[in-house]
Amino acid sequence: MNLMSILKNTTFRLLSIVFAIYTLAWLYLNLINPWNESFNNAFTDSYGIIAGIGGIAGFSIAKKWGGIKSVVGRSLLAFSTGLTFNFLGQVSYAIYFYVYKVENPYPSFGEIFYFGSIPIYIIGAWLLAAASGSKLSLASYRSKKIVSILLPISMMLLSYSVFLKSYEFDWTQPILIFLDFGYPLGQAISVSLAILTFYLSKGTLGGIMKSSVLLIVTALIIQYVSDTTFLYQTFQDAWEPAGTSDLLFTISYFLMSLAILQFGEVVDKIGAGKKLKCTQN
Amino acid sequence: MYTKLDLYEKAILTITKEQEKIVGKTLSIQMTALVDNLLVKNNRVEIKGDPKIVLKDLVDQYASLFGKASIEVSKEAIKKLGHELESSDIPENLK
Repeated sequence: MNLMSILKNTTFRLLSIVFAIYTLAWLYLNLINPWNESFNNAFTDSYGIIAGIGGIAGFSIAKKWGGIKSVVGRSLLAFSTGLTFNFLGQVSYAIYFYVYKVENPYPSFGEIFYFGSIPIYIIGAWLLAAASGSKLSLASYRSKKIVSILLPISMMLLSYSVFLKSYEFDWTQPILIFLDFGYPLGQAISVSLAILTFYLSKGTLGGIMKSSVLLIVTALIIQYVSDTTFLYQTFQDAWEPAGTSDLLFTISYFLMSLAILQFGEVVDKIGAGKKLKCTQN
Repeated sequence: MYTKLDLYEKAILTITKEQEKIVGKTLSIQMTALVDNLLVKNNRVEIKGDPKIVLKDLVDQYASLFGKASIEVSKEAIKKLGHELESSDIPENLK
């Protein structure tokens, strides 16, 4: 990927500046001035803007790749929607905090967006795997078929053992039960698909888009770690604003947005009549 | 009765159509139009040079996007043509 060309991209510059500000803010809040309540809350309630920028930019980029009429277009639409949902989820939580004075109001209206992003990311990862040649890989290697089945099951069992083994059911709150199970299990499927995309695409995925695809996979894995950390801390009643999970979310949103922008750079380059360098696997 | 040139042009259109399902119509046409000695106009293509080389270059052009994954899409497209093109007419990167 041509670094110089993406540096000229206005959206990339905006995204990078915002990401740098939030990273520096996190370092300040955690290393130099620990626990400044209002700054910590402001951080936690606003870093989702990175996802918002990436999501909005992603919709027009997805259209250039064919929108709903192509595999890559649908994949980019899914990731853009997922990012936008993460942004809207944070806006919802911020409204709860600043308007209704409720901190971490799980479960709440925001879950429509946060939880809604999980199946959307699953669809995005599935389509990305298809574009990366995973179908060929699956058809060619029996061992890969076995891994494709075992990995999601293993991840779900791991999530269950960490979060749900000692779960106490409160049947007066069925939505809470659904979300408490849905988040870790849904995220396990999402990250499994991301890992499988990487695993199955080895040997088939190449070309100029390889780095962008792998960047999306990395972002999904980091988002899984972020979600897991957040859930674990919430269940232990140990979550604090501007903590580790918030930094990880910030990084995952930035990486996902950056990957989508790279897709945009390539399609603009081709549209301008510039040939791509033939770099196969 | 199709000439060999017609068959190559049909192969190129078929590959472009298959790639369209992955990358979208606009991008697939733009990618095909970037190939040397190939003219794209009104959903038709016209080969100006050696057709076997043009076909090879088309496959390489798409391969620059997603590597072997793109080549496999091109191979699948060629399979749809059956035996219309003889083996000796198919470039190495499509075998």
